[in-house]
Amino acid sequence: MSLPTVDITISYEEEKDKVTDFLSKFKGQEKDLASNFANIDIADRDEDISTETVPAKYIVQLQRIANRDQQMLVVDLEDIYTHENTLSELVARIRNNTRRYVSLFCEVVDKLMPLPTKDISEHDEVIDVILHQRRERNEQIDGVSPGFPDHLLRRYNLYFRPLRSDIAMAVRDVKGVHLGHLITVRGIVTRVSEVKPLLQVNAYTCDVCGSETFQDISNKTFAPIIDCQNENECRKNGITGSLHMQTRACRFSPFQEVKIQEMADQVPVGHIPRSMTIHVNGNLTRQMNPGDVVHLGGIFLPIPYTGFQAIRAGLLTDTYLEVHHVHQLKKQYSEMEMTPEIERAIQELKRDPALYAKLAMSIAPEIYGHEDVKKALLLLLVGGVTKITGDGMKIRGDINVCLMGDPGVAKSQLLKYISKIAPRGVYTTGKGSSGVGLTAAVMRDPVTDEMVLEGGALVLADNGICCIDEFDKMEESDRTAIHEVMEQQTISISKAGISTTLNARTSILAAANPLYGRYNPKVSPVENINLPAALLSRFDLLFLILDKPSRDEDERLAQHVTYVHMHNHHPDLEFDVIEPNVMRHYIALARSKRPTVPPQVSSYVVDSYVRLRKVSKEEEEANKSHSYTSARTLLGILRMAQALARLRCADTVVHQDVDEALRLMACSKESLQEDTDKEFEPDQSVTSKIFRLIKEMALGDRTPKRPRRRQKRFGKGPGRERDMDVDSDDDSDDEGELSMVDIRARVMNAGYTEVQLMSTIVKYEDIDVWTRVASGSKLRIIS
Amino acid sequence: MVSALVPDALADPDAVLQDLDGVPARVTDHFKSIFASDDAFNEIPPLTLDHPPEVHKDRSLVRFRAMIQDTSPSPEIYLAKRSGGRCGGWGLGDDATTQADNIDYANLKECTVFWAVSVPGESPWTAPVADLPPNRATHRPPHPHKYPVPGAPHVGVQVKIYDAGDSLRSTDVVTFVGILTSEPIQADLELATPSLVPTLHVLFFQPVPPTIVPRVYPSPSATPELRDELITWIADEALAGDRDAAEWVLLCAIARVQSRTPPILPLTLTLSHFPSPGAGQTTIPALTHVLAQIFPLVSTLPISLHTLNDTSFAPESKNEDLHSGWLQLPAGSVCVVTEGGVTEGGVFERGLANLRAVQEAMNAQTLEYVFPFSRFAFETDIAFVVLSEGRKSTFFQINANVPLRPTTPDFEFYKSADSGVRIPGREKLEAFRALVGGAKIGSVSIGETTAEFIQDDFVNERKAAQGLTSDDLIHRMMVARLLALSLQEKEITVEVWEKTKALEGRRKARLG
Repeated sequence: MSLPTVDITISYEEEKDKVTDFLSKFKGQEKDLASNFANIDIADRDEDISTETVPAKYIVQLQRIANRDQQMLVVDLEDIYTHENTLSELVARIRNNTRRYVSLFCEVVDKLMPLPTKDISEHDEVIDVILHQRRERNEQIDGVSPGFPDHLLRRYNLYFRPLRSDIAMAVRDVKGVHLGHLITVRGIVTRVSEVKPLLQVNAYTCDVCGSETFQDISNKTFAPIIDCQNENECRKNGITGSLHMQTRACRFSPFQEVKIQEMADQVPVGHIPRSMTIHVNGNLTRQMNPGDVVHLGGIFLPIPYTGFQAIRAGLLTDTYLEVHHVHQLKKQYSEMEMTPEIERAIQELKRDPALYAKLAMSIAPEIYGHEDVKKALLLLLVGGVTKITGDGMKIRGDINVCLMGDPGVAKSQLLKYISKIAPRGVYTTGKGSSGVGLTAAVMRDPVTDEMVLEGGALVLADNGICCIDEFDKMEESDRTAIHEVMEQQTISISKAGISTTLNARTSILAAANPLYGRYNPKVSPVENINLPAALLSRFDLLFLILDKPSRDEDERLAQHVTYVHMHNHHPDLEFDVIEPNVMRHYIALARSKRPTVPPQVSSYVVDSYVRLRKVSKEEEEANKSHSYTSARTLLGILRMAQALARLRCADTVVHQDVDEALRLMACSKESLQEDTDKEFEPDQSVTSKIFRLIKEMALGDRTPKRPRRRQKRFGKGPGRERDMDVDSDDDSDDEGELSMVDIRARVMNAGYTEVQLMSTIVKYEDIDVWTRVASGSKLRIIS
Repeated sequence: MVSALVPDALADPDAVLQDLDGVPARVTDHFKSIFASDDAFNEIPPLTLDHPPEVHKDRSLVRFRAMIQDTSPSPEIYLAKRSGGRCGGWGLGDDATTQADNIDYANLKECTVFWAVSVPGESPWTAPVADLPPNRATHRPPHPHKYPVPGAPHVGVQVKIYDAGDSLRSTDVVTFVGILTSEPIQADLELATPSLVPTLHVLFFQPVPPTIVPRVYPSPSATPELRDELITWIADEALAGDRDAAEWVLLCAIARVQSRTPPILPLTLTLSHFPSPGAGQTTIPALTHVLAQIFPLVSTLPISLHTLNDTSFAPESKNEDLHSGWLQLPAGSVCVVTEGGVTEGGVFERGLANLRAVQEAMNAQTLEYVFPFSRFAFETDIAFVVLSEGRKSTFFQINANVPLRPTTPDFEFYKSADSGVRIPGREKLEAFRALVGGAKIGSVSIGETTAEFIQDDFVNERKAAQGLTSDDLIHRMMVARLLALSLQEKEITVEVWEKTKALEGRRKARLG
């Protein structure tokens, strides 16, 4: 690719006028004042506001430079754009020929520079003294003031700040065409040199005439001047006075060389990341550390090779970026880029009534079934609302889920999928694959050779989701840390003399194998689970996924495997999958909501909780309990209900949300019963929802009177119809009667209409699930 | 006309370049057309270990079959037109740069810079034919850290590509044709006295198939009898007559990545109860030599405390220079991992990272290159055969474990390359190579009826036996595919499926 040459037909004198006009007239916005002059003390600003006239933004800065209160003069291209109202004029020319315009601006600034308004003699340096004396002496002798190099007199560094709309490029996209241009590059800092003085003006004195000679240095190498250049004395008299370098009179600028490297998302698959040399001057030094992710605005410049290198290499230049603006990206930076298509897809999703089911099914779509587990994972992705009370207490909003099951039931795939889709998902195994483990470790940084605290998976997943596979094989120390993380959401570290608390506001998704690898149906679930109760209670949901041979399942699985080997791709799915990217954006959107719980819903939650507690107590008495209902359960229900409200992008939690949360909770419990093959109906039609509501009422009515019977069944039920009324069979007495008034009240409360209710009742009556008795005022569930 | 072009280009490539206008695409086309025929191409002197850079004249035309090791150097800018309108680039035109003032910026162009090394694990029989007498003693590679095997002899060259270099990736194998000279390496230019490295200014390049020598599937000369002979030969020469183990080795070595999503990856194999080398013996098993006779790319990864703790398996970038690692191997490689050299001692952090890298390469066929503050996963396609002394691999989780059952007493499992391995006749050897080469690139499908049969078979078996999981089915499918490939079948048949089950059954019986 050839590099274009620019035909320069620009009159720099005219440009200077424009620059002068801009610098002297441009008035910053009030906001600018606040943001850009963060270093202005408050008194100054108050003054500005009180006088009601906004002074020219740059003149104010020049005054501060003259007073030696400020060293950096940042010319914001955005300001020039506002001033000129066009991008094609001055702004474009600056961007295409930046180096030239730096000197142009400097010349103008020198002219505009006001006199100091206060005594600055305390800031005087050696050079000032020399200059002062030289000036005085020259005037005494013949009234000729010598030309000092402008550099020597400048007390500021001028930088351009690129336009905000400038797109940050990858290192590999920076090509020869960008030479001399002001560009923005994104990358990770890999190496930072020490700050060294860079000679800008070299000063010499002559040992014959005593006059100073100054030499502007613009290259990396320079040839020192040996003979005195003084026209008035040595040259005139034909004497070659020898020069001596005066270090104290020289002008140095701090200089740093930095290497940046491309980020993972900028490198095409299968390529090796490239790096770039960065030169940092003046006040911009010491702003970057290895590991920082930065946007660097700067001029892409060539370094001409000299001497031997040029001859051998047969090439012209190496290149570097001279930095003008450093923008540190926050650590939470996520590469989510909203495109119009995604925007549209999200708007469409929002309107979709089957959103919840659709999103849930799109989680790891190649894994068949497990609808409820997927729903739980969806809620985990969305999360509840974290609340910090007035006295600083924090109520966790993150939902923790544990999947327990036989090997080979796709637990790991689910975990990996979640860790990929979550904005800050980390996948790790409980064995702690590296020395860092789950929490944190003190390590020696390979680049800087300093001791640093390196965060483990839990710290890395702060504000995200930490997926821990083989949770049961976790090390004891990590397990203790997990306790803290799951409730307090912090990690306390006390290692190698470093004692600190790190944030770990993370949801935990754990997968564990039963004791001895496979689920042993001969012992109780508690023994199979093999995790301490204190840890278990911290999980909002716990699912047991077992691998039981069954003809249908096996056949489907075998079909799948052979299909994959026949066609080298997964079979097409029966439903539309929501793209992971769209899903990620939707979840991010949902997470921005903070739904509240209105009073009537909260009383409903309380009622449900009390009921659950009662059930739990009775189960415990009957020694049938495998889980434990505690205050944590209540919080868990609330969290899930909030997550459901978030999914709807609603601002309040409604009854339905609580019902679904309770249903998931129940599912999770059911799965722990050894006899459970139960799969909940994923059907989300209104009729089914109302049916479930009514059924739940029937259960709720009954349970206090009689503990639920658990029957042992082997194998899977032949069909769905068994599943639906599993809890109501073997139960032929009249307890299954519900008052229609209650039903109506409950169903209306949940936001359904009378018509919907009646159609549900008629429909299920037709298939003999229930019948209306007492002239339609009561509903009896038929066994 | 063409006949005169070839000797001209060989004798003085610079002169040919001078006559062209320096447009990279046109230079590529011109030289490509000159050396279009195989005969003409074979006349270009090869750059190999036998013909290292030192034996070639400066600025002579060479061909170099190489693996791209590092693509990270920044592109260079060069002057495409020298004074007097002459063509620049390809290392030409140094006179103009000395007077740096009068340079027309419109004539600046970019070229891509890579580091390429001779293909690791390349079997000697694949070497390009050449008239030059071998001459290997003199060469010392300038950047030994950029070759996967530490300390191994190889040729490492800085490559400058003027046309379409962006398409090449790390571990790609290509044949470069270009002008060989020596130049300082870019990173060294900052130094006062940059050292010179061999540099190849590429005129054109050609991709090389994963089998190095082009193959067809099914191979016309392959018969089931030939396959049996091959297995017997492997068994007799490397595995003390254990034919089942030899069959597994063959199946494992012809495996390759069929698909990444869903993952259909090569089978990994452990030969357990494989004796360790005795004191004073070479640590390279005869199996490596046997495989190297028939497979084009065979590497050995000797696992010992030294290699684990002191060398790196995955490439690592240090100071913007990508150091190579043992596993930076081209696609289609067979890697024999020997655990026999492990002694008592500690495995440190680097060792753990190395072990993890091998496991990751086995499980996912990806290799993470280490960069400061980040890691990048690169796709690999390596078939692993692990030789372990114990009941199973000490370090790795493997798909298939085959305990070795030697039938020949006092068999020497470790031999040096040139002694002890009986080489079959030339024709037979060629037929063997064609068979495995074809199998390496072939693909098999599954017919509807067989698929049905397999499904029913699985369901029935699962009913009968507890503990048969979906993983077992997937594993069996993989073996069946490989078996069909080795039999040069186009489709998995019921017969192949039954054979697979029998083979699996015999393996399971050995384990029990």
